[in-house]
Amino acid sequence: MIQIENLTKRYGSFTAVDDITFTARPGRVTGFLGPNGAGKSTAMRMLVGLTVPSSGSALVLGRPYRSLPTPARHVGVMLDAAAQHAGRTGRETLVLAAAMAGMPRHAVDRALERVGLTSREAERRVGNYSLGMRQRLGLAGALIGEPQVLVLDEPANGLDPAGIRWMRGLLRDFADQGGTVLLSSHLLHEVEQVAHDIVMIGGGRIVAEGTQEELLAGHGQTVVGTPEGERARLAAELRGAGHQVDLRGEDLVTNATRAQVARIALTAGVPVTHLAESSAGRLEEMFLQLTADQARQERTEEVSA
Amino acid sequence: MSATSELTRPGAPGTGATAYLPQIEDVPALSFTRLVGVELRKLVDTRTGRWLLITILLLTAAVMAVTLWIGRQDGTGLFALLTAANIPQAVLLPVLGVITAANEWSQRTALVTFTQEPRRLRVMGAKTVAVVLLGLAILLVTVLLAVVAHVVSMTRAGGEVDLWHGWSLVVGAVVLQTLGVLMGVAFGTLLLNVPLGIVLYFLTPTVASVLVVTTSWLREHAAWFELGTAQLPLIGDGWMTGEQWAQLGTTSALWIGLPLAIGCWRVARREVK
Repeated sequence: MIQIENLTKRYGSFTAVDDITFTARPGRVTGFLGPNGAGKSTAMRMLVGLTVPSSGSALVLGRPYRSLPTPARHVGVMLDAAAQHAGRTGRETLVLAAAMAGMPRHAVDRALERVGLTSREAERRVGNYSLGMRQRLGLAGALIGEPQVLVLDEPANGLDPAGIRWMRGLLRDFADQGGTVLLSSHLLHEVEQVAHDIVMIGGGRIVAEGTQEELLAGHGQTVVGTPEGERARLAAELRGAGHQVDLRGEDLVTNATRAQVARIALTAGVPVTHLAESSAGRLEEMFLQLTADQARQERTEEVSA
Repeated sequence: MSATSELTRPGAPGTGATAYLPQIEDVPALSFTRLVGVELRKLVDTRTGRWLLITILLLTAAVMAVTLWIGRQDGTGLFALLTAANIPQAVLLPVLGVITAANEWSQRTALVTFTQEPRRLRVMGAKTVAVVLLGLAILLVTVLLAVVAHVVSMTRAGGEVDLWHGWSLVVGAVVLQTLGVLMGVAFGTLLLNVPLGIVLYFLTPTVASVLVVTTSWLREHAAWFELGTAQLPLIGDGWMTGEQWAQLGTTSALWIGLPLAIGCWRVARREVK
């Protein structure tokens, strides 16, 4: 269980994390979603006591992280897979992690096995690891104390598709066994694949929050495909019938139901190449909006700098 | 219940077979001894750390060899061997101290270490104890080497073997070694950057010495704030006077205590990224 309440971090006049409140529950994977620079990492650092919040609180297992007697035994944390000493072997990195978590030495082999690093790979120096291997090693370090909470910042970075799939399974299993998982990502698709609950953050603020089903529901939107020449005519017909119509890529998006669209198209004699309930809902729209805002802001800053 | 599940640890304390995971209260806090053990391990488990230790021991042996060669006619005294051995060690052991204190910030492993143990000053304490222990272990090896060298040299030259120079020298050597390592730790902690720490460790006392030599009032009272002057009596004949201990105290407070205190304050407050 992770409880974050009114957590805020200000750097001078810049507010990196702005009064966020949410709970990550046991038995569920909570996806912390937001574009780069949205404040996800700052929030996670505050959660584990690496950054002092300007105000608000963060509790892990009912207490501030810093007051856990042996935190690594209860909470597995991976904030940056690159933050490992390049001159140590993978195994040595885990031997140290096991000691810090108060675990016996054989926990190292178990953790290696769990993340799929072979013993030959474990004998190599971390400096020679690919980013994917470092992610696995970092995850092994987080899992070594057999914790009940996992806090992972962008864990899928650098993993190949098979690795991402494997990670998804591992996190789902962890949650199925009652563990709490909080993971961050800047990719909507990645979060969609694994998270039960989603907390979306942009510009330091929470902009959407809820279960995956709630947030990804189509909200009655219908996506219609027509040949290019016919698109404007169908849009006009739909608007004429009192529906809203937007253009999204090659498709029309409308709040009319599929049946309504079919009837209007038939009457107007417009061919329809596909007709579907929108799978991308409010969340994707908001996420794209956030990302676009962020990009625009960065451009402005670059220009003014 | 889920007795076969991967995360269930049968026989976990507290709640019996159905226990999911240990209660926070059931897990003992990370002990300081264990922390020191981890920090000692970190000193020798990388190539850099190992080579630094090997270099220290090789240079010590080389310097002793030179001393033996110079005194080959009449045999070499134990004291001469130890003084010689102190030359490379006085330079390199503080470097080990700087590295211990600052390396995690340069390597970014601070992110991991201070997550595993959020009580940061405990970690710094463990690092300090670990590197002092290592420094004293090196001193012990050095003394053993020097004893062997001395005995061999005297046997060959037909001189008298003299192994005991009194407790004052033992205490002096231990204090000198400890202070050297601690000063490295202090500069490393102050700057939290290995290259910068090493450079300033060497530069600052040199600049201070120049200042002392060129200013007459400072020159007269040098022993109160100049390290080299205050530490010299440690390996002199017999016990130091009370005033000399006081001078050692003030210089140590200035050169070790002050940077260490400021450094600890920085470590405790700094955002780890």
